[in-house]
Amino acid sequence: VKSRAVAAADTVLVVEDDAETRRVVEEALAADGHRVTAVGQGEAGGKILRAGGIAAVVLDVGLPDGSGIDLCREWRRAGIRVPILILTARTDVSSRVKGLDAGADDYIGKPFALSELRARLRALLRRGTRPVAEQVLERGPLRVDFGRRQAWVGSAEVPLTRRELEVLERLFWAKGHAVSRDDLLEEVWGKATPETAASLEVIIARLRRKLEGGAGTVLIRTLRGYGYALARLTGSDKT
Amino acid sequence: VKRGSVVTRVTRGTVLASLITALTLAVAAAAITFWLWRAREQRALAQTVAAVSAAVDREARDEQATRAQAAPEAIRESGVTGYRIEIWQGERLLAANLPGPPLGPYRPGGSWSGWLVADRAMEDDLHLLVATPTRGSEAVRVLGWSLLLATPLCLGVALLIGRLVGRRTTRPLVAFKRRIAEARPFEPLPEVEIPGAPYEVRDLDAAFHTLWSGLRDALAREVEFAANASHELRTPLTRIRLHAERARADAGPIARQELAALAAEVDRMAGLVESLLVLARDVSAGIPRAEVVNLADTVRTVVARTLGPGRVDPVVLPDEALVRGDEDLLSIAVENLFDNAGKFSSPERPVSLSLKEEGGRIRLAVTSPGARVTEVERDRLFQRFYRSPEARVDRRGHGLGLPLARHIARLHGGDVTCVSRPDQDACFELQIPGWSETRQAAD
Repeated sequence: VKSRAVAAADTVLVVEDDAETRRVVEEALAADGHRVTAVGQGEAGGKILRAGGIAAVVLDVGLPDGSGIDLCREWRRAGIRVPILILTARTDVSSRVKGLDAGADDYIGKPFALSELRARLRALLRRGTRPVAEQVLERGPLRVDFGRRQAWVGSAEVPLTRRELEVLERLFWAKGHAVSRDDLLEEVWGKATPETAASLEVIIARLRRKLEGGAGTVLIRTLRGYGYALARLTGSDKT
Repeated sequence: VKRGSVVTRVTRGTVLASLITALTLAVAAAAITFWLWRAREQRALAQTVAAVSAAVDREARDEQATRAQAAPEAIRESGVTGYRIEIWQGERLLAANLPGPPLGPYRPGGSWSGWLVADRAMEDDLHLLVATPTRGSEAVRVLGWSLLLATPLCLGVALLIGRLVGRRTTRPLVAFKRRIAEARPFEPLPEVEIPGAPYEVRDLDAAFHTLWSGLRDALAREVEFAANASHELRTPLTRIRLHAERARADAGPIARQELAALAAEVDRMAGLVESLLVLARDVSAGIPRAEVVNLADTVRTVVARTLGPGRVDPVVLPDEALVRGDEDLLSIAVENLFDNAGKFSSPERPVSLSLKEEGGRIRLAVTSPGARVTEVERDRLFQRFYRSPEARVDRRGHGLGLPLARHIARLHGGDVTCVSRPDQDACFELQIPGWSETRQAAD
């Protein structure tokens, strides 16, 4: 509450009903150099959010004045596009799924490690506000619906895992611009290590195999020593 | 129509009833026919008796002869055919109109087997008998024909009526069954019209409705309780974990180690709380918005994390083993499977695993060399909070690993089973429908 007055574009809003957890998270994020506003109720959070200047929200699912999921949906409907990280149970499939459906960008299971929360938040802040209009990638016979998390080539559904969709979505948001390998690793895996780097290469290879087909079309370009980018296509390219 | 169905039973009952009815009717028809014929014959016989005795009297008067002398001529003149006529005087047959063995002599109270007889005692100790065969065979023939004609007709009609009535009777039941079949846990009963339901079915429906609502409420309360309990427990766990993590930053080397152990313990406890939440989920609820999961990647990650290098056979996992489901839950299931395998295998002999697609299903088999699963333990191992004697020596674990893995597999339409015999190395297999199998169902 103390920093509400100075909310700037890099302020992180923490909405968590447990006072102690709130305090620890607030202090830890502040120690990382974030400006933090922490509140215990959804309504107060909504007010601050609408006032502007918030770069990301850490939102607890169970709040005294309603569900964080409903709150998230309400905010998204009101046109608020700030990245939202929800705090939920790892195994509570329905609340997790509902959270993502309601427009949350990521989730983290309680109890969580501060280091993980920091990494996720960093990734969200780096990625910035999600483009809201375009949810579908179309390239010739290829069609990827990021909202429904499904992909098709022609009429045949192509199975894409969560990681594969996340990597593709990240490249899609860059609209053909290159995304560095480290950015991809940070934003999709939360950390850049030799293991995650190997995973990224495997996933790029699978995406190419599944989506480029045998037609010789190129969907993902490799920029040697830097990263990847979606190939720009003319004609049917709607990105 | 299935065997043993209500329609079959109604049909069978109707056929039986009509068969009995047909038989009864045939017997009754034969009896009535016989009785009518007998009454008519008896009347005719009485008339003949009167005519013949009058002829004897007239002949005796006209010829000035005795009645005994006039009898043969009188019979001839009476012109009666079709009946047997005999005139007796005591034990002596005076005259008969037909050849053949005589019926008489007349004895009071005597019986005439096979014949219908009318008699009259006349003057001069004469006795007149007029008889006709009872024709019992004719009655039997009538009976036979009625049976022959009536039975198939009755059976046909009964079959038709039975099926019709049966179908009509079962229609409300079928509608009721459909209503139950379409019911999903946690949801109100679907409104299925039960047309023309008799009160029994309506009562049944109402009773079921009450039971359903009660169960639904109880189930909802239970799930809510589990969710609330796990949330309530999660808040203090989160606090402890955060405090431990922050304290680590400024702690000395020994305190650092202790705090790391504390955080690990909190994570284990959180895992237990979450397990209870997963187990509280109803299997039929399935997985909401299932995503594509590469089980091969899950296994790779879990193996690296839980068993560490060297504890697992270097196997060539397929690049992809795709299923539809929830990545986090499946990862918990695989983790528990490996955790279990690792616990019972000796450090020298690594756990071995295989992952393959077979008949549209993804199968992950984890074998612990040297470990045995007895016949008794086979099922017990999947009971919640059951811990084998070996597991109890080691204080790790809470007896939820295998039940949890099984429950998660069942949430995904699969299962976890022990596939090894008691004399083989313990092997547990997780199988889940492959992505290609679930594609149609998911759309």
